[in-house]
Amino acid sequence: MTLFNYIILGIIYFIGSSTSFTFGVGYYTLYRSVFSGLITGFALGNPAAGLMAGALTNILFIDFSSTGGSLKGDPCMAGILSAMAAIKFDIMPAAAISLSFPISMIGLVLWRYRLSINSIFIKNLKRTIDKDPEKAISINNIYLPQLLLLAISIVLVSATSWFLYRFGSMVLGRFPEMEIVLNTTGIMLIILSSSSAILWFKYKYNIIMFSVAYLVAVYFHFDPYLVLIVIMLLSAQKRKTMDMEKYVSPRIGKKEIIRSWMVWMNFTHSCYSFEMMQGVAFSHSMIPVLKKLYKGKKDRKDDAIKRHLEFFNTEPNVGSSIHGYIIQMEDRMIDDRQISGPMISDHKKGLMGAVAGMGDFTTQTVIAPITILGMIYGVVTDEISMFVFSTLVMIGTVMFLSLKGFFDGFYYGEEGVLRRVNLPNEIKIFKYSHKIFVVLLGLVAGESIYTILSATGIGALTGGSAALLLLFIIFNYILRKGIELKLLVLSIYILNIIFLIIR
Amino acid sequence: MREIILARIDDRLLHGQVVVKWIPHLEADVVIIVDDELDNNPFLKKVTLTAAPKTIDIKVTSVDNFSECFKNVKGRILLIAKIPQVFENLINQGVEIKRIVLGGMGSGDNRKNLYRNIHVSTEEMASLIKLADTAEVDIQIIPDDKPRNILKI
Repeated sequence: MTLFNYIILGIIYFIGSSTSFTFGVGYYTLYRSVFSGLITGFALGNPAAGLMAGALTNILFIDFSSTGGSLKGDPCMAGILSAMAAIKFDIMPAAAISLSFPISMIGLVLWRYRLSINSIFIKNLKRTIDKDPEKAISINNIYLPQLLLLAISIVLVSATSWFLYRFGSMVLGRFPEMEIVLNTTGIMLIILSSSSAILWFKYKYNIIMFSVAYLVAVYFHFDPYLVLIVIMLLSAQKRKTMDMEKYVSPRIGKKEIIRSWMVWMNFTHSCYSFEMMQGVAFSHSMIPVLKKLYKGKKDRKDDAIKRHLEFFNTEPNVGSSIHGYIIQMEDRMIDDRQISGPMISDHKKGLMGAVAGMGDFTTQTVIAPITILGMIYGVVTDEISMFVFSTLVMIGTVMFLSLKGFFDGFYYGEEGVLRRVNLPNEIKIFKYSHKIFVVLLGLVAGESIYTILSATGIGALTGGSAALLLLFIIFNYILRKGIELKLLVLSIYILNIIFLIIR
Repeated sequence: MREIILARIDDRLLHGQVVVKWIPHLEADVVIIVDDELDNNPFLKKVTLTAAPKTIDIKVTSVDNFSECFKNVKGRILLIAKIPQVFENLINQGVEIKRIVLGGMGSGDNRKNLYRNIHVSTEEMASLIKLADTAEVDIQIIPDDKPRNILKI
């Protein structure tokens, strides 16, 4: 590993954890282990190994959700480190996972302090806003926080990966048999996290559905495309067309709305702070609209920008109908004396909470986990086209939903917002989404375990993989009894090391 | 059985944290949102009710109509309001609230930062201290967080 390598890993981490400049999809792609592993693989000259390590790492984070800003771990960091370990030490991917997973927890530190650190930029923004609001916002929402994040990322990841490299070289150099122990630990971690992920949704037959899917994967190796066709058939439905009056504005058209959408999608979280959450980004996204509305009236435009600079937090993609609706209100305010700034603010605040709940449900518990499972499924079954397809579905869904939210909110106002909020009830596949998740997870777990075991060259592969199902059931039982996940992870590590010493 | 298992203070009312984290964690059957403004705004009320998960009973009520609404529900109940004064009012009405958590109070309106995303004004702080006499008042944004008692901050 050269210094250049370390810096590149830092930049990969920055791109993933920044979530900016990527139209809102970075958080669901580049931030996830499967992608950060792949890119690390490219950087270190072995994309295939990086992708496999990243995909298997991602199973540990399959029920990852950011609601509340507190995370179970850092998928991006874990993906980078696993890929690096798999490539540089030339060890089996499951061994790379268990070696890097505990070390990747350091990434949590960044998330923990990022929201506090960004308050500096809020203060700076408040200080400079009166001179030139547009400039103040773009400097404090984009450049300064992103530069700081880049610097922190490079330092943090270089240090962490350097430590992993030294530590791994030492341990694996002195005790080569450690690889087998780490491999077993990795397999157990994957089994444990899948057993825990099925508890995400309460349903009596979860474990049975999971087990059947697991065994089917191990014994028959379904073509992932067959599974895809089933999911497609389940989701096929005709959408009702809108039968609502369209709002027409002489001032605001598609162009302004798309510009506003682009700003929002790229910079929602670039200055994410406890003080304002996405408030700066909201104000930033209104600039293209306000510029058009108050052309030649600089004072009124600046006042409006400042008016929007307040606490705001919602689910950024599904919640975008709020933006459309607020743009409509801003536009109507030009002619309608009944609408006032405080009234717009009240609507914004009233909507953000309600929409956030269903939005988080939609993206973080349905769209993201299912498409990411599709990606991992493609990788472990060696169907790269399936990986690419799932990625495209994810990117397409996020971008379509968010842009459509802007349009629906603007053109159909209250009706548009209500329709968006009703989305999970309207789309048929949402009703089965939990079951699809459990079955897919079973298939992915089965294929993953099979792939890992075949890399170790164990005879009687199928029987061995099938027998491991017992471990899933045991873990699931223990977790349901209320034993903490953390405790189980720790005991897996300790047990495996004890076994090594005894031997 | 009718029991208030938790009362939460959050500007955003029925927010993602409540839907994704608190409701499953508490195994709540009913969520009652106590907010005069929301109760008086038919559009926002409809959005809130439509957006709510279908697996749980959601009620929106004003402070004055609370007892009426409370009579008609059963099971484990989660209360949500924007400001602590609402719960103070309910306790004065004789409602039994044992535990209150602060989940999110945005900046602005003469509020000062108390802890992370919790900002309070002087009146709100006074009300919280009063509430702490009869109930356990903690800052706990999501169930995974460690509760921090309001009196110890």
